[in-house]
Amino acid sequence: MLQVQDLSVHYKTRRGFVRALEEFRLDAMPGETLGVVGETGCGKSTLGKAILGILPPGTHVEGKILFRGRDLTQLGNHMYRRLRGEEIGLIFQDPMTRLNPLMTIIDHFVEEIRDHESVSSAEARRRAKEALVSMGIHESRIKNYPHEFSGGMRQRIMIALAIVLKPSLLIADEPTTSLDVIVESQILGILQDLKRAYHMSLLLITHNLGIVAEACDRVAVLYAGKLVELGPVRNIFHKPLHPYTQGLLASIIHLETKELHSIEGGPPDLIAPPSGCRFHPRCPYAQPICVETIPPLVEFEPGHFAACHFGNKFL
Amino acid sequence: MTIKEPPRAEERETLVRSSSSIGTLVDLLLRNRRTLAGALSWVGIGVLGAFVFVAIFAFFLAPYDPQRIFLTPPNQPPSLQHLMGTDDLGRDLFSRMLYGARTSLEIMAIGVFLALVIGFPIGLVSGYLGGKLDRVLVLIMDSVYAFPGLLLAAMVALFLGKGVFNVGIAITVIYVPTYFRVTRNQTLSVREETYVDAARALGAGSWTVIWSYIAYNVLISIPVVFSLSAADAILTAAGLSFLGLGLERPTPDWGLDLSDAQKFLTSGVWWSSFFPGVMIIILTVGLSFLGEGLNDIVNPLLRKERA
Amino acid sequence: MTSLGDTARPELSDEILRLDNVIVHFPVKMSPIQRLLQREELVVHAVDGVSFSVRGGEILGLVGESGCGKTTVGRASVRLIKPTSGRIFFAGQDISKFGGGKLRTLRRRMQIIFQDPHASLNPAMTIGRAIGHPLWIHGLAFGLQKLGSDAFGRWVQQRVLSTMREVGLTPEEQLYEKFPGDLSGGQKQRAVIARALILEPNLLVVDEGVSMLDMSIRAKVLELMLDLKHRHGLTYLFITHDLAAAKFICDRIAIMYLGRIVEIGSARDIYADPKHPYTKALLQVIPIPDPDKRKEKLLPRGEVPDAVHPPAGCRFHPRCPAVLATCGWEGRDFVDFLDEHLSDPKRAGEDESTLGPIEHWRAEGLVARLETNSLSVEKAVERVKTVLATAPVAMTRAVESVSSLNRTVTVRFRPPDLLLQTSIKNRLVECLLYQ
Repeated sequence: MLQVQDLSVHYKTRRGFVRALEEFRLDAMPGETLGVVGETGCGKSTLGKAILGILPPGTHVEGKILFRGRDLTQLGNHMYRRLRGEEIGLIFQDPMTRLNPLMTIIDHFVEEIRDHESVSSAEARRRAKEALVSMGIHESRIKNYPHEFSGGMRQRIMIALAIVLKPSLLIADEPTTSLDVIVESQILGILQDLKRAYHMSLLLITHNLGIVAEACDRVAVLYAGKLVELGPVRNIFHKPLHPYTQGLLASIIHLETKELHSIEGGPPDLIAPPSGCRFHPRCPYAQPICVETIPPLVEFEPGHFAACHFGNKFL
Repeated sequence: MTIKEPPRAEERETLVRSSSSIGTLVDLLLRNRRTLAGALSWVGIGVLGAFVFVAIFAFFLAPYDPQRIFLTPPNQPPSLQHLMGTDDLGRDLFSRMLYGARTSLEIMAIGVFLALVIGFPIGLVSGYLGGKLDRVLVLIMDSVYAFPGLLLAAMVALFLGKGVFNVGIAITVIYVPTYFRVTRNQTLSVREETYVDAARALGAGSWTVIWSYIAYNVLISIPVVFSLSAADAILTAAGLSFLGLGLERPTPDWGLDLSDAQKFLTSGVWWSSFFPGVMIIILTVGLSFLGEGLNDIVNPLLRKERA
Repeated sequence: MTSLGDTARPELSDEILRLDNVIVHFPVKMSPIQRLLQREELVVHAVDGVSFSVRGGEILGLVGESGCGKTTVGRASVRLIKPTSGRIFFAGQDISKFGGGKLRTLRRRMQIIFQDPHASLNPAMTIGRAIGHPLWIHGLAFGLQKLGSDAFGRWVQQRVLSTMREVGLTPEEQLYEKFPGDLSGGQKQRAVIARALILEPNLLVVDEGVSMLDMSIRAKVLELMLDLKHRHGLTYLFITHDLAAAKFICDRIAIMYLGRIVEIGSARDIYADPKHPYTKALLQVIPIPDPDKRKEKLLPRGEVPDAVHPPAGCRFHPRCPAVLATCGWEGRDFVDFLDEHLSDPKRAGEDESTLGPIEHWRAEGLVARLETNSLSVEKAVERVKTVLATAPVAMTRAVESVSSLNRTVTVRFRPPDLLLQTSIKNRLVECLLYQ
C-alpha cells in the first residue's frame, strides 16, 4: 500500500542543509497500524510531511514514495490536493490547525465532501451529520463552532473529518500528545475501531511508546533521520536489536519502574551528523567500525530489521 | 483540502537571539534578502542611506550655495549649469534639493526620535501596569491619535513658531500616540509570556521586569513603526511647509519650494515644482518600503513565537 | 524586611507548606454587554476548597488531568496568584495576604519551575545572566552595598558557574554566554532549575517539569531533582498528569479532580490499592509499554466538564462507573442523558416530537422542566419514565418524581448526601462509597 524507498529529505537553511531524513525506507500493509517512533529531531514529522506533500518549498527530496503504485514525489500540487482527504487522511496534534474558527463544524464537513465529490448540499449535510453522530457528537451541537468544544471533542471532530471520505491510509502525527490520559485512551479506542471498520492503514507517528505498545502491529524506530529498527511490535518491545531502541525502552517510566535510565548525550546536529552510525557517540557498545561505516539495514529475524553492525549479538 | 502547518514547540525560531536588537534585525534582513519583503527593505535602506549621505555631505555635493541668487533671469529650465534649473528667485534648484534633504531629515530625526523616546517608555509602563493609569493614558493617546495629523501639527507649529526644531516638536506630538500604541500592544502580549511569570516568581519588581524582561522583547517591533512613521513624518513636514507654517522662507526645504513654485506651473515652469515633489516622493516611498518590508519579515515571526 | 531570610532554616520535619481550604475563582472573560445580561456572576471554579500540608524533605505529588486545578494550586502556593479565600502557610507563617515587599522576600524561600522550558527563559538574556539574575534582584539581602558592584558581580558569576556545574549544565564557561535559543530542551530545563536553585529555597514547586522533555532525558532531569533534594534538603510539590513518574518520585500524592482533592495519602498505599473511582480510572489508563499486556479498559464516560458550572455533589458523578443514587444527580444530568437519547436515531424513535427538541428543556438545580402543549403532557410524562428506565440505575433511583402541571413536565431529583473526607488505609478519600 505505502512504500517509501530510499527517501532523503534535506531542508535548506542558512547554515547548510539539514539532513532530516536519510535513505529512509518503510512499507505499510493494508489494514495494519504502523507506529513511527522517535524523539525530537528524529525526522518522524518530516516523514509525515513528505508523504503528504507539505514540505516547505526549496526542500531537497530524493527517493520514492509509492502509494498504491503511484510515486507521490512526482505528484503535482493539484493532484496532491485531491489525494489528501480522499485517499490519505491526516490528523495533527492540534486540531485547531485544521479547523477554521469561523466555520461551524458541519460546514467543515460539507466543504470537505463537496471539495472532492459532486454531491448536492443536502446529501453532503446528511453524510456530515452521520459522521458526527457516529463520533459521539450530539446532533444539537453540529452547528457549533470549534472553540465551543473541548480539546478531546475537537480531536474527535478532526478524526471524523479525516475519515469522512473513507481514505485507505490515515496518518496521525502525535494525535494524543496534547490530551489527558483518559481522553487519550478514548481517542485511541476510536482510531482502532475506525481502522477496523473501514479497513484502513494507520501510520501512527508519536514519541509515546506506551500507546505504540497498545495500538500498533509493527513499529519503525527513527534516530537522527535514519531508520534504526523495524519489526513486529512484540519483537521490538521484547527483543530490541538496536542499542537506541534498547535505551529508549529502558528510559520509559511506567508503574513498575524501579530504576531510572536515560541515554547519555543528546541528539546530533543534522547539518553535520556523525559519520558512520549516527548513534555511535551515545552508544555504550560503539566500536571503530561504527564510526567508519554506515550500518546497513539487515533482516536479523523474519520481518525484524535493524541498522546495527552488531545486531545479531542481541538476538 | 489545504493544510496549515502545525507549530512545534521545539522548532520555534526564537526571534531575539542577541541582546542587541539591531544585531537581530540585520541578521533578519540578511537572511531574507532574496524574498520580496527583504528586497523591498534593502531598497528602502538604500534610499534612506543615499539621502542621509546627501544630507551630510551636501556642502561638498552641491555645486552652489543654495541661497545664492544668480543674476540671470529667474526660472531657468534645467541645463548643464543648473541641473534642475532655477527657481523664481534665481537660486539653483539642485543645490536647494540637496540641502533640502538635510532639513527634511533633521525634522524627521527630531520628530520621530523624540516620539520614540517619549512613547516607548510610557507604552511599556502603561501596558505592564494596566489599571487606571493605563486607561487614562490610552484615552489621552487615542484622542490625540484621532486628531487629523496635519491639522494638529499645524496648530502646534503655529503655537511654537517657526524653525526646524519647532517643526520637529510638532511632528513629535503627532507620533507619540503611535509609538505608545505599538509598544503597549507588544507589551500586553509579552507580559503573558511564561518567562515574565518566572521573573515575578523570582521576586523581580515591576521595574526590573519591564526593563530586563519586557523592553528588549518589545523593541524588535519598533523599527517597523519607526520607518513607517518616518515616511509619514516627511509628508507631514512637507505639508506644513507647503502651507507656509513652520519654516522661515529662505530655508532650503522641499515643501516650501514646492509651495512657492506652484504659481508658476501654468506658465510652463514645471521644474521648480517637479523636483521638490519627486524628492518628497522618493524618500517617503523608500521609507515605506523599508517599513513594509520589515513588517512582512518581523511580524509573522512575532506571531509564531507567541503562538 | 529580610527577617524571613535571616532566620534559621526550618527543621527538615517541620511543616513547610500548608493550604487550608483554599479557593481560587477566576472571573469568566466576557464583554461588558454579556456581563450586564448575565444574571449571576460567572466564575471559573479552578480550585474549590483544597487543603493539604507538605513536610520538610518530602515530595508531595499533585496529580490530575488538565482543568483539575493543580497548576492553579501550584501558583497559589508560591503566591503568584492570590487565593479568593482560604489560607496558605509557609513555614508556619500565614502568607495568604502578603503583598509587595514581604512577598519578594518570601520568594527567596520558595520557587517554581514551569512546564515549558522553551518559554521559561527570557530570549534576550544569556544563560549566565538569567541564572544569576535572582542574585541581582535580591542583591541587597546579600550585602550588595557592602561589597560594591564589581566584587558582587564576580561573586555572582562564581555562584552561577558552580550552580551550572551542579545541575549538569556543562561545559559551564561556554554555555554561560549562550542564549536560550542555542540550548536543547533538556539543557533549558536544567538552566531553569539552576535559576530556581541559586537562591537556596526550601520549597520547589515543579509544574510538569519534565512533561515536555524527551523520554530519554526525562529520567536524567528527574534524577537531578532527587539528587538536589537530598543534597539541599529541598521539599517538592510535584505537579503532573504523569502518574508513572509521580509514583517513582513522590512520597505522598494527592489526586485532584475539577478543583478538589479526591484522594490524598501515602503514594505507596494509593498506588497499591486506589480507593476513589477516579484514581482507579487514571491508574487503569496508563499505557503499559508491553504489547502482551493489552487489556480492556473501563473508561469513565465523557470528559472533564467545564469548571464554570461544576456538577453538584461529587463532581465526578456524571462519569463515575461506580456511581450511587445519592452522589449528586441533578436536572442537568437528565437533560444530558436525554440529549444523547434523542441524538441516536435507533433509540429516539418518536420521542423527538414528544420530548424534543432538547433546547426546550430547562435544568435548574435538582429539577429539569419541559414546556410542551397541554395535549402531549401526559404522553410526555410516560415517555420520560420509559426513557429513565434505560438510564443508569443510579440516576433512575435518584429521581424523586416525574410530574406534570398544566403544560410543564417536571423531573425532580432527590437531594444528594453530604460528601465528606473519610480516612481509610493511610489516606483520605472524598467518596460516598466509603462514608
